[in-house]
Amino acid sequence: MIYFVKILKKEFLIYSRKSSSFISPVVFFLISISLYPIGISNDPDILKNLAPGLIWITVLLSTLISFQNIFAEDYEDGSIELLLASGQNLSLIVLIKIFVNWIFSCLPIIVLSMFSIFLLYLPIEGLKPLIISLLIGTPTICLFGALAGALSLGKNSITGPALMLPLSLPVLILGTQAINYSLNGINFSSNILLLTAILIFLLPIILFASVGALKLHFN
Amino acid sequence: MFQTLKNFYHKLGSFPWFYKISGKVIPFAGVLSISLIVISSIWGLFFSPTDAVQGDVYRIIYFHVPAVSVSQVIYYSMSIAAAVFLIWRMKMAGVYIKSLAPIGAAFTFIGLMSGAIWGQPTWGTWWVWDARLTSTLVLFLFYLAIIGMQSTFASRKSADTAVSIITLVGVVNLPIVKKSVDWWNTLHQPASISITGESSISSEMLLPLLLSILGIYLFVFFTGLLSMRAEISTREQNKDWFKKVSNYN
Amino acid sequence: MLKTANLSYKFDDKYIFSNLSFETTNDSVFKLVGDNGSGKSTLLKILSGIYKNYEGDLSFSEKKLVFYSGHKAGLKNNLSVRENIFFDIRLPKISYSQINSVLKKLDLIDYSDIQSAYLSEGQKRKINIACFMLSTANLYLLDEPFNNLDRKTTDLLKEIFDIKISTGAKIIFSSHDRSNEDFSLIDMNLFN
Repeated sequence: MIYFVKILKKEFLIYSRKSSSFISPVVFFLISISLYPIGISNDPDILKNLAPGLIWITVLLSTLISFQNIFAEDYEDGSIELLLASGQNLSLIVLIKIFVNWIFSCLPIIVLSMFSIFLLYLPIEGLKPLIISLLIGTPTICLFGALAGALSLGKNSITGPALMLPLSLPVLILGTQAINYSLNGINFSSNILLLTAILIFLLPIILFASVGALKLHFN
Repeated sequence: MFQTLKNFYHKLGSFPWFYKISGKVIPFAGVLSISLIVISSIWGLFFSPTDAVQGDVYRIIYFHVPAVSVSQVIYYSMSIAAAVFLIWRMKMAGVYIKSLAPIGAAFTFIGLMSGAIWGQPTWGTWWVWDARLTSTLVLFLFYLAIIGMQSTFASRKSADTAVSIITLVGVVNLPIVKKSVDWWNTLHQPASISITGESSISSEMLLPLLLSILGIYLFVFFTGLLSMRAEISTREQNKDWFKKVSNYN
Repeated sequence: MLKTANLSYKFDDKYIFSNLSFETTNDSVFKLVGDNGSGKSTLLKILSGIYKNYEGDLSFSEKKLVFYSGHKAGLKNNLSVRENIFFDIRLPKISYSQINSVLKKLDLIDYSDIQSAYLSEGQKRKINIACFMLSTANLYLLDEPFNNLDRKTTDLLKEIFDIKISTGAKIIFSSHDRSNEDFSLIDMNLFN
């Protein structure tokens, strides 16, 4: 137990020291959100309709920037070897790493996405499904990121993004749909329940697969 | 019966046997497939009747349909090979996936391009975000992921294992993507154009189509054998049997 | 006591080493020697549990508490020297005063609050030696610990070897240097 608390603290410390880990997704998100009105249209009616999809896509893309943070550095500096040698439960360690990565790369964006009410004219009743769907959907995307990161370690290849995007499609669809539903006065709880089910169902599977993928590099 | 199958399986897993047999088969497969493609193209392009609705544009199906169907068949065969690799650790399955993935990617690309070229004059659009096109695009992404994955592992065995897992993930993911896009479309923005429901096709058009499908499948068989041989010769270049076969000493 | 019987390891189809058998019977430090590519690092990784796809038997008479130190030290660039040691996952819970006393011995105390990105290679190795000193493991597997070290630190490391051995721990380390002052040799060239 002490061991896992130590790893959790260490991860927090590393991420908080490495300011790029949470600043770059935030900057990316803000730049994109302010580019949409300029690039597409500044008409509130058009932006209002596009807002749910735009926000979700931007969140998805900004995780593409950060998913390599989960394992790449540990692989380079030899920390993963030490974790393997420790004989401790690797899936719990990977879970901690994904959790801390989510806190630093996704949580700030979720908070910032509230500004889309002003910037993209998202109606106020869309805020609740936006925040809830992001809170439940982004952990799943981080899980996919961990798997893609574990598989594409060591080389910068197309593998990671090429894997992540198709896997994330259902989450993207359910997430944007939840917001659209609430804007049209339809009950969106079924979408949230589906997103939760996906998260609970995939959590052990993807975790197991990521650990397996990590171990494949040490064979 | 079972014993013959088992023997065949063991032979199939043996690199020297495969190398010997494929060397004999390749010339026939090559000549046959290329002549079939040439014949069916000439037949399809010049001699089969013009479609009453679509005009001459429809003739692109002689490339489009075989390419799309073979790209899917290659992926399914790769996922069977992936399962075989993960369960029985058959090395030939790893060779198969690695060699066929680029071919599959190429035909998926041809399928997407020819579909767009066909779609523009016929339905007035290059692209529609319907379930079929989206899932074909995702199929292309999975092919790219499989190709990209080959170089990320130092050990051949690890790379083959990872690639097999990705292939299987893809085969599960593809129907999910198809379903979710379908669902999203019908619920949200009903597709204005739907590229489904081909008009019943006359036998004069069908025959060259079947011929071209056969030709492309044989062509994939031919290029697949070539590429597997090349892969085997890189993997086994230091083995005694290979040195003996290739007179390399 | 660490014992291996007919231990073999292959990378894809190529055996790195095969039929390696040895026992750490006496209370001495074991030194792995061998040419480049003879499998020294690989053997240490197998003994430490990083590589699991070996053939043959491997046993350790007590509950194995491994301290492994590879070519890559596992240092985090944006943590200070002290934090790197404090959060090292191989170590039990330790206090800052313990860390300070070790850092003093290694002449690193003036650097304890500096992020390890700014240290030289030799100093980075010293951080690893500090972890080695603080560890309470019973099996130490060190990959070329004497590389990049000055005279003084080399002597210190040998002293620590003696201290660790006297508590009953086992030490196996690898080296290019074939001279066998007071170490028992395991020659990897014999198992190729």
